[in-house]
Formats: sequence, structure tokens, C-alpha cells
Amino acid sequence: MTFIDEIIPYRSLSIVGMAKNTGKTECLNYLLRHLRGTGKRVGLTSVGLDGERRDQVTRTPKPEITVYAGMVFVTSEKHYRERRLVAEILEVGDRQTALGRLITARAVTDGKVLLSGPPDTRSLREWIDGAVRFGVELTLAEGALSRLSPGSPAVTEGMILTTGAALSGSIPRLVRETRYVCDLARLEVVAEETGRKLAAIQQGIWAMDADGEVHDLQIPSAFLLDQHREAVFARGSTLFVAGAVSDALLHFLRVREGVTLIIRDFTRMFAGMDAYRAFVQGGGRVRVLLKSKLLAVCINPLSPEGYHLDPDRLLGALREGLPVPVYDVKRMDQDVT
Amino acid sequence: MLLKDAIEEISGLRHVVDRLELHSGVAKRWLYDSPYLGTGEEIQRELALIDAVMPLGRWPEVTSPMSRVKDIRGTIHRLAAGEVPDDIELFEIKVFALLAGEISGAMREAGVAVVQVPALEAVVDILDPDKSRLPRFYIHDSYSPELARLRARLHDVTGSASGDEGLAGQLFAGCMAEEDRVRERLAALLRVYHEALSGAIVAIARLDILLAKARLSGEMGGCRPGVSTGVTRYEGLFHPRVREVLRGRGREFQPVTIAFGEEACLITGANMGGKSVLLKSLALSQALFQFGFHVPAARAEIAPVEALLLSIGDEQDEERGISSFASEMLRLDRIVREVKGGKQVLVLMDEPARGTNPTEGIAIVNAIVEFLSLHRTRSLITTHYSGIRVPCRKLRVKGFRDTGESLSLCDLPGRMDYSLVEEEQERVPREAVRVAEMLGVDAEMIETIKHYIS
Repeated sequence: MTFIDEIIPYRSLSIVGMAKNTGKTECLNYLLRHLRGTGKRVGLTSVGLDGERRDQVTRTPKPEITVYAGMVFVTSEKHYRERRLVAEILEVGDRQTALGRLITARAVTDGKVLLSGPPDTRSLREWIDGAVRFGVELTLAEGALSRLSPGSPAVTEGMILTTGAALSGSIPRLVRETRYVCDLARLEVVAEETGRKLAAIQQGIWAMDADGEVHDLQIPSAFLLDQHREAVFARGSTLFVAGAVSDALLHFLRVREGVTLIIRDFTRMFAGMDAYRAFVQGGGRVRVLLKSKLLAVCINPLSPEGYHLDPDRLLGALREGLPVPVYDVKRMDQDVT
Repeated sequence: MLLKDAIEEISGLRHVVDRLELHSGVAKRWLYDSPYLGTGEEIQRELALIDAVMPLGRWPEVTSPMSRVKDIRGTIHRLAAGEVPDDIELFEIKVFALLAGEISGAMREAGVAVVQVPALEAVVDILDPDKSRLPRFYIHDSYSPELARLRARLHDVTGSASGDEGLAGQLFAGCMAEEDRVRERLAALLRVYHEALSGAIVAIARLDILLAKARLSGEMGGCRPGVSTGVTRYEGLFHPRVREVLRGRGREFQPVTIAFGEEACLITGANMGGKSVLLKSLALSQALFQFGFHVPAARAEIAPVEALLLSIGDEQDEERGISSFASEMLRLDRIVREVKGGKQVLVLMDEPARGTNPTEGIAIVNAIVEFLSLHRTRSLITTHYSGIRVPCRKLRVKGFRDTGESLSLCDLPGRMDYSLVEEEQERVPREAVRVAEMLGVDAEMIETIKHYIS
């Protein structure tokens, strides 16, 4: 099964990066090139004007995406006017962003455009749902910077992770860090019954006792743990944290044996690799309400500073160290041509 | 005066206007800019339009396309001024023209002709070269054979393996230039219709507002007021906001019946007798009437006036940092000048000079009543002062249903009768003492008070 065959069945896919410049755009361009001609009707977006602003700060040009005739894309008014293709406007959004309203259009010819789509994951999800009206069957969403949030299974069905020299010049370190995100994306899902009980909870820290009863521990945020230390284990050691999980929280939970920590999905894990590993090695378990589907890892052996990792060694090390397929899309294309 | 100005002045008006459920993106501004209707004919006309749309209820065939209408006045303005719209603006014009067509089609089907939405078929035709009638737009090949030729060549060049980038760039620039020429041609064709486009926006906004007014009347339990040439008459008049607050506390608003002509009318009655609420209800209803709304009453006949002059004190004076007496006197001055100027007005004054000493206060009220009587000004003035000697019509809020039993503070509102009775002769008020008595204030103190009254 090829990479493309692998992604075809999905309705939405995010492409998120371990760091900036790990090759999200190359990956997206590769996928678009190979989706052309499959008959699949493709939608295309990015998340976050943040990324754009940052790019203006660091002055690295934001790469254009090559879109093919028939594909539906969304971008801001500013970037729509700068497009280098013929496109038919399908919708003009109501909301103003820093770069104008969002324009949804269908490419009439092949050509290039800068993507600056919905500014947050919530409006991204709305766009994906709405694109069905325009016949879109598969939406590809490119994440901004190193943010993983578009990869949330609440936003996109599947996800592709990019990693590379921009993250670290040391291959072992690069593998370790990438492995960590892969592990998070593959966290096991809780029992259906448990998921139902917790799904609607939007904030706070909750405990589930031996009888499966859910209790609000009255701790508004994990960042306020110090003020509520005694309360945490009052109802047993299965905890649900609705918001973000920090290093401090994991260090705190580590002192107790057999803790099961439930989070909404892996994008809520803000703790670093070391805190996470220490928690798990101490006997702690982390479970999610929503399971992610990490389809592949794509690599970029080049860093923006010009640092170059040996692509074969990198590919080999990642393939050995990661539980998912790893691709070097740049070279895959060279093989084709 | 515009509705947006009246909202600032008249307590409870914002509450009513905010409850209008508008669908389109164009109606809100139009609504706030609605003019004060000075004549009975104008008001009749507006009320007749509300009647005409009343049976349509929620009317999804119209409200659904309406909710997709965006405010493209800026685009039309620029088009009219000679600018060339870009693709996004052309798309918006096309979508608007399609929606206007949908709305006028639904109106035709329902046989409703309250507002004429201009036909924009020609506008759609200009922007719909493939006759799809779908809300999408780009500079289609069929607009220009030259554009089609350039695009075909560009396609060949970019598609070929050798891919001459320089040539592709040239061809792309050529395409852009030709697209610009097409846009200029389209702009010239569309410019002819800029008035029809503006007219359609106005018509849709009008229709949206009429439908909202009709629905609101049903929800509020209001009535279509009749236009009177003499006496203004309300049966079952209420104040929607106050009624809502009372309902929240499990109590009912007691509606009021009142009639008044071109005369000064003094309203007296106990504290908590609802005199202020009465004036606010009258102010609100008159304002709604003048802006062509139904009014919160079971039945109403209202005489239109050229201006609604209020002196109903509220917390706003204090916020503005003026003493309430000073701002009241400034309001009085304005009333006097308007009346002297010969305007047809309705004057509503709540307890003028209440904040000053009774000697001067009574003199001020006497002077006001005399002035308004002399000018036969349609006016209602509430007061606590007895000793208003100027002859005028007098109404009294009935006040306490005195059953002789003692009561506690929370029983008070239930004991009030807010209805109005004509007061033939001056009566020494006793309600304040009765309330004190029933609340169980020290008997010796009550006796002393009574001693001083007699």
C-alpha cells in the first residue's frame, strides 16, 4: 500500500509539524500532486494567521502551495488577491481576520496560492464540515508552526506528523522527541462507558471512583494544584483533566502509585517528554477520550540554517524507532521522475 | 428624529427594538435610521404594511434567503462612483442579485406585494456566463476569446515537461491584464443597475423590518393602534419591560385604561402607585406608534404628535453629573419653548419639582399646569403636591385597597390598584398615613402626624 492509498479513505487529515520548517509544505505539495488524478475531490486549508505573522517576523518566506484544477481551497482576501491561478469563488466568510475575510474557491487551473485559512481549530472544523457542500471528500489541513492542535481527533480524522533537522541536529534526539509525539498520538482510548461520562466536561479536574462515579474535585485548573493538594486523591486515583496537562501536574501525580490520568486527546498533553516518561515509568497510565490516527511521519533532512542530516541515516533511524510508516517525500518524488 | 436617537431617550424602547428578530445583514442599520413618522398618513401606511405581512408568520421561503443577504452597500457605492470591482466584489453582487431574485420570487408566489424588490435578473445574467444560477464567480473564458486563448496557451506551457518559466510568466501576466479588461467591461454593464441594486437592498431591509415588527407584535401581545385625530385612548396599556421584570418575580402587571385629549391632566396618587410606570408606558407606546410599530396595549387609538417631550427623571442625570433639579428645569425650558413655537406635542412630566421645597415646588407645578392648560397642550403631569389650584383635569391612581387589616412590606404591591379615577374636587390625601398605619408604625406617632394634617 502506498502513502497515497493510505490516506485516501479519510475525510480530513491534518499535517502538523514537530517544529517549524520540518517540511509541512513539502509534504502537502507531495500529497496534492499525487491526489490529483485519483478522482478524489480535495479540499485544502491551513490553520492560523499566527503562522503567517510569525513568518513575517522571521522573514522566512511562507511557501506557496501548488493547487490543481478542481481542488477547493480557503485563504484570506489578501492572499486570494495574490494567487497565481484561475479560481472560482464559492463563498466569502463573514468574519474579519487580520488579512481580510476568508475566501473559499475552486481552482479552475493549476497554480500557486498562499494558504491562510481559519484562525483557530474550531473554525477549521466548521470549514471542514461546510466544505462538503462544495463536494469536498477529503480535506487536508496544514497546521501552523509547531502547534499540534489541528491534529486533535476532534478536528481532523487522521494526522501526518513532520519532523526533521529543524527540530534537532542530533538524530538520536530527533528520534526520541518524535517517538514521544507518536506515543502520545497512539495513547489508548478509555472504555466507551467512561468516555460517555466524561465527554461533556469542559473544565476542571475530576475523579472517577471504583464504582465508576464521577466527582468534581473543585480544582479549577491544573495550574492551581498547589492550593488543593489534599483534594486530588480524595476519590481514588483515576483522574480526568479537561484542560492542559503540564510538567508540574505529572510530577505531582507521580508520587502516587497506579494513577490513571485521562485526557481529552493527545493535544492536551503539554508536558515535556521527560516528565511524561518519568510518570509512565513510575507506573502511571495516560488514556484519552478520543483516539488519534497517526498515519505517517514525513521527514525533512534540511534545516533552515542549512544544516543537513544524512537522509538515509535519518530515515533508517526513524523507521527503526517509530511505530508508523516514515517517508522522505522529496526523494520519493525524485524516484518517480 | 431617528429611532436610534429615540432609543437613547425613551426608557424601554431599546428593550422592544432589541427584540426584533432581523434576518438580513442590511436591516439593522436601516432600522436604527428609521425616521420619526410625523403624520397620521405615514403611520397608517406603515401599519397597513405590517398587517399585510402579519399572516406570513416566520415565512422561511423569504427569511432563509434573507439571512444570507450581506450588506454590499459599500461595493455598490464604489461601483456607482466608477470603480471597478474585483472578483470578490463581483461574487458578492452576483450572490446578492440571486438572493434578491429568490426573495421576490417567494413574494410573488405568496401574492404579497408590500415591498417591491427590483428585478435583478439582468445583473445575474451579466455575472453568470455559464447560466448555472449558482452562487459562484470567476472571470470565465467565455467573457473574452483572447482570455480563453491565453489561458489555453498557459495551460500548454505549464503542462509540458520542458515548462518554459519565462514564457509562462509572460502568459500569466497577459491573462491578468485581459481579466482586468473584462472586469472593466463588466463594471460598465453593472453600473447601469446600481440604483436597482441599492433599491433592492432597501426593499429587503424594509421587508425584513416589517416581518420582524409583525412577529414582535404577536410575541409581545400588542395591538395595531388606530390613528386618532383628537383623543388618545388606551385599554389594557402595559410596559413590556416592567411586565417582564414583574413576571420574573411571580407577579402580574396590572394594565391601565386611560384617555386624554388636548388638555393638561394632573395625575395624583400614593407612592408606589405606578404613576411613573404609567408615564413610561405612555411615552413608550407613543414612540412605538410614531415609528410605525404596534403598541403594548389591548386596544389603542393614538393621536400623532410632532414631538414627544419628556421629563421623566432617571439615574442618568446623576451619571451625567447634573443635579436632578437643574436638568429638570432645563427640560422644562425646552418644553415651554417647543409649546410656544406652536408644535403639536405630547408632554409627559413625572413629579416636576419633587426635589425642591414644597412652597416653591407647588408654585412650579401650578405654573406648569397653567401654561399647558392655556396652550391646550396634550400633557400628563404626575405630582404628590396637593394644593394645585389651577383648574385642569385631574386623575388619581386608586392606590390601596384598604381592607383595614394590617400588612407587611411584601404585601404592599398586591394591595395596589393601579387603575385611574377622575378626581372631581381637591381631596386631602391620606394614603401616606394609611400605609404607615397598616405597616404598624407607632400609634402615638401616627396620631401626631394626623394632628398636623388637620
